[in-house]
Amino acid sequence: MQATPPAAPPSQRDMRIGPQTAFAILKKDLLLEFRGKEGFLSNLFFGLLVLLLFVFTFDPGSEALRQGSAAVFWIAVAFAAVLTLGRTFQRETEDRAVDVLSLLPLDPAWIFLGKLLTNFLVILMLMLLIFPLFVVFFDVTLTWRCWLLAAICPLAAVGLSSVGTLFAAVAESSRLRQLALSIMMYPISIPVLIAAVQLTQQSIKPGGQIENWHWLTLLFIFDAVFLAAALIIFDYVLGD
Amino acid sequence: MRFVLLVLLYPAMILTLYCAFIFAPTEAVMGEVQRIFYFHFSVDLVCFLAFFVLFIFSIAYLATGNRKFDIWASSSGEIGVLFGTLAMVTGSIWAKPVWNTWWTWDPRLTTFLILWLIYVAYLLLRANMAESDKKYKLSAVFGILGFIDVPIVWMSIRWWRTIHPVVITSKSINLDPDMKTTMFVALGTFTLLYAVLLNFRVRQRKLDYEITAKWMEA
Repeated sequence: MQATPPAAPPSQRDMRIGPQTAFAILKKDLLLEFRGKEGFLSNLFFGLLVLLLFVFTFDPGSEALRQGSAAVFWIAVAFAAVLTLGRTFQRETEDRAVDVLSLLPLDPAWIFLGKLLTNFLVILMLMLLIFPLFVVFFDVTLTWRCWLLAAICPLAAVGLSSVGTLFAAVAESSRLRQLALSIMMYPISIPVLIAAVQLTQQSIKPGGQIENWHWLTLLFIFDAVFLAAALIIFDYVLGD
Repeated sequence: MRFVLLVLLYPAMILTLYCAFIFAPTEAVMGEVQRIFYFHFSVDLVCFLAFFVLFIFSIAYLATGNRKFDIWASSSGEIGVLFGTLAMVTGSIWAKPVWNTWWTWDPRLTTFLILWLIYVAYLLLRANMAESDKKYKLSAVFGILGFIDVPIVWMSIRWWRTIHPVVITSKSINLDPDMKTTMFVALGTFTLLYAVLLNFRVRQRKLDYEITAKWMEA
């Protein structure tokens, strides 16, 4: 960057560098995630395994499993998602690219935004692909109420990825690595999981109807609070 | 300061024991076991106080970068987890004869358990990071986010538990005046105990810090 006098207003180039960096990070990470074998595919397979472990540990087709099926789906998603989230800053730390990122003349919130968008899209994809498997193995009857999932999944994905992206950056400094992320993320995101399970249960229960819309409000509140908090606080997390 | 607190603590403890076991009348229905309530109630409230102190000092650390605030915040977190554990243990001992169960998924208990999980995570996070400014920064970040989560957790658990039938409703306590006095005496004593523990722990950590700094110089 050329040195500009401090009094000068930011040029158009300076204004654009933020969104451009966020987009570049998004593009790079999505490519790595979907092209590499250690990325998305492995997580999806792990999600499937978790789903099936529940079938094997319960009696297949038992009433208990049927009643708790929404919970099983979200446990599988939460487990697969934490693996995705754990990789967020791993590559940047390994080759010390994170130092370069923190030297860029822009608000670190843009870097966070790029990473957050990547995680959001990957987690949404995980949900999208685990759901059909869930429908097949748990014999879920699809009714018109399933459209609600089109609202639940993105809302839950925003919540999980904003908390998860921030804590992934925190976990990079811990000796526990991946475990540190799980330890921090799960207790904090319990409200998201409860709300998602409650709403999913209502949308797949045969013969029921949707009540308790307040769970959607709760997801909104969680998303808004943690998205805002993470954007503000990320500044302290990046770099040394 | 900390010795003044310590000197005050001894008579306060004896007074609390006297109040809880002799002065306060025996509860008509629950009997003697109800006396554990005074300790349970006090450690529970002081636990919340400790986490609030952690939150405030975490903000102070991020704002100033002063190492002292990190020591205060994390020491308060340690004592908070200790008191939280005690609150759950005393609660269980009380619940077994009275509710006939060690644990129930009542909104208050559930929220408290999640809170406890968050702050154990805070301690684990700290225990597994190399000493550096980064560690203090990151744990302050987690301390702040953990506290922000509390009202949201509370809201979700309350809705969650009202959809399901709640078998055992929360205790309603109409306290006898002597019991109320005992309750406040116990609360005051345990707040004092918290202050004493916090002061000694902070002093210990500061000394530790100074010794390490001297050793690094040599």
